[in-house]
Amino acid sequence: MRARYRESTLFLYALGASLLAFVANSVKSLILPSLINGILGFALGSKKIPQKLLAALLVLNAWGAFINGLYFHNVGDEIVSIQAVTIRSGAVESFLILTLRFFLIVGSTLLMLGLVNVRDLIRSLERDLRVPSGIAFSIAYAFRLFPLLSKDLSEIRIARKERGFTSVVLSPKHLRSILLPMLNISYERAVWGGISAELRGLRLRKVSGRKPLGLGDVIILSALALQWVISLYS
Amino acid sequence: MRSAGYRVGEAVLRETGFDGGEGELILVGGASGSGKTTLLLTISGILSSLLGGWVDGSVFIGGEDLLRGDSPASRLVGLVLQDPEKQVLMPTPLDEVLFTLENLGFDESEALTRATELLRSFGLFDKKLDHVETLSGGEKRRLSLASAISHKPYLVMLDEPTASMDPWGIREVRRFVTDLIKEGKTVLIVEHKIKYFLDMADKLVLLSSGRKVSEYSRNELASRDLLKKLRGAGLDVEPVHEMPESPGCKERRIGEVILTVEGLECWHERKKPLLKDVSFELRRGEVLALVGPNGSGKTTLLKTIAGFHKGYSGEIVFRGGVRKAFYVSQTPDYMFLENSVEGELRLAASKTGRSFEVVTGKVPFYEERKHYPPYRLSLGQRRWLTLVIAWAHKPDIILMDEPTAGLDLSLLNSLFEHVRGLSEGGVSFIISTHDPRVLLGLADRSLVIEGGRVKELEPCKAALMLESIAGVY
Repeated sequence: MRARYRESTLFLYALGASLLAFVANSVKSLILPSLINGILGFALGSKKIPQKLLAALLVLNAWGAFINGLYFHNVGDEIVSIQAVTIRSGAVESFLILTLRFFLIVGSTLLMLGLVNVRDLIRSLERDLRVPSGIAFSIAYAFRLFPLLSKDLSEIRIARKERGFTSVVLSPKHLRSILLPMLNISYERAVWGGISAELRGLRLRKVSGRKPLGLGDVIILSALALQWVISLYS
Repeated sequence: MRSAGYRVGEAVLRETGFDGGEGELILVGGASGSGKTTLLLTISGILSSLLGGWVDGSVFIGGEDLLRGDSPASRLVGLVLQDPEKQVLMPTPLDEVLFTLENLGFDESEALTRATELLRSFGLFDKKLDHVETLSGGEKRRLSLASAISHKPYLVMLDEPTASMDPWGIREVRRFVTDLIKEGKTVLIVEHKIKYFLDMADKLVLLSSGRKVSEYSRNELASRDLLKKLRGAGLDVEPVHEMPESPGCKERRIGEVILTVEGLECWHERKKPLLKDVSFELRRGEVLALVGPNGSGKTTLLKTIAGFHKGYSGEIVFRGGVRKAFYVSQTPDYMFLENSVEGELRLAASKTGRSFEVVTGKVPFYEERKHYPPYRLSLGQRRWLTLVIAWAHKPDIILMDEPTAGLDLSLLNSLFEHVRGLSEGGVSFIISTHDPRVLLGLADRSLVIEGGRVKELEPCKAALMLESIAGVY
């Protein structure tokens, strides 16, 4: 028998797992939930999100985590020394914590995306959690944008190369030259997306009735609770 | 409409009024910045309800004022935005059509039946559960048309529906409009390439600086003198074969061969080549137009020549000291990496060794707009800026992807002038386009992509071919 679940329960799961990523602050407490969500999420969700975008996010995160560890947490025992750069245990630990957090947040989000249809998610958020339609729509619209972000990123990389930037992001200035056009283009797209939604009656939207809690919901929420318990007591 | 605007005290529209009956097509024409899109946003209620603007006036449908009545515009009006990318909100075609119907309170099973029927009639039934990003440009346009009429509105409005459309797409839009008129809908089209709809229009309303300056009936629109006058007002009114001063295919002195493409095959998936056996040469100072339907491989060919598309076999050889070509995307915003026009030009000068003063000298609107974010410039100005950035990098070849999409006649002429100036200075261009005006006014030669293969056709003939496919020749 297939366990039925509300789409909003998966949303709560992703939200709860992301919250856990911020609450847990050691490698030990993060490793299990991060691995579970990372592996399941990337396996299920990568069909819906372009793999290039995921790879780019992964690289950006790894680079950011490395720089952060090196500049702000490079204390403790020496682990390795490469020419003038000495990497200490604090930097490695900080790098691992940030990377595990990334896997937990992205993995749980991908897990949700892999299992729900966006229109059903909007309906479930409105119907079961009483989320205002504008907010439910914004969450759902973000998922439509992922493939577009991937396309934007690829076009911006071409423009950067044409304009004499290296393809490797070496400094905050380089990072800015990627983020600035991405944000500006996304902003314009969001304005027109809002206009399109308004034109198509989002304001009038009314969803009635509630889907009863099923066995699937209990399993999903229990899995989340279990991860919190393991994380907090490890 | 006595007045309307985005900010209190700043009217964008003034003294603009007209009416339309059932089964009528109203064309609204005007140059860029004349208030055409604002008019659509006002009629649909978006200006006042979403964008925080104000309206002093009324919009009546069947005796009910849309801006004040109980029936919101979204029930009675369907709007097709200029860019389907910005209109499509849901991840699959089925979700997209159902979204409108669910919002408007249609019963679930009725909504599903209606959405399925619509997708079938728009040729999207087999792709109803595919991700919208796997659809071609033409399919996305069809989806935007389907979702705009799913709730059977009385008034259907289209914002520059031919802006980035190939002639095959234009023919589809024309058929869509014809069907709506037959069904008795009122259709309002905002467009500066009005030649594509003149034969169907019952009325033309001309806007200038946000004000209605004239209105012409179907009979008046048949007059040649009027068409001449409209052309003077910046509207694209005459199909290629009717243009009185067609420059024809002029012979121009061009230089030596600087690019040879030989036996090129391009693909996204190795087993399905998009382009096969493509061979051509480009000479110094030459303007070569690349014509073909959306998805035929024009952009891929440009990116391959520029070195950004790696899935290819065959030879691309630069000669005469040329090392590479500069690719300018169809969407100018991708090119901007700074937050002001001044910043963009400083970056271009510093990366290329050109003098900042020389670079700014190429931008006629520099003093007026130097502190503006480039994204806030008009489309024509943004395209101009990308061309100046490309020029600053001293390329011998500039590859331009659909550079005239969304430009009115005056901006188009400015762009042509700029390209001609550069080509006379020895810069060569390969321009991917569906625009017959590029073929007639700019191109020295043209290549047509058909079934993955490329053949050369005189620019005049290629322009006539495009107009013929669009259904106006």
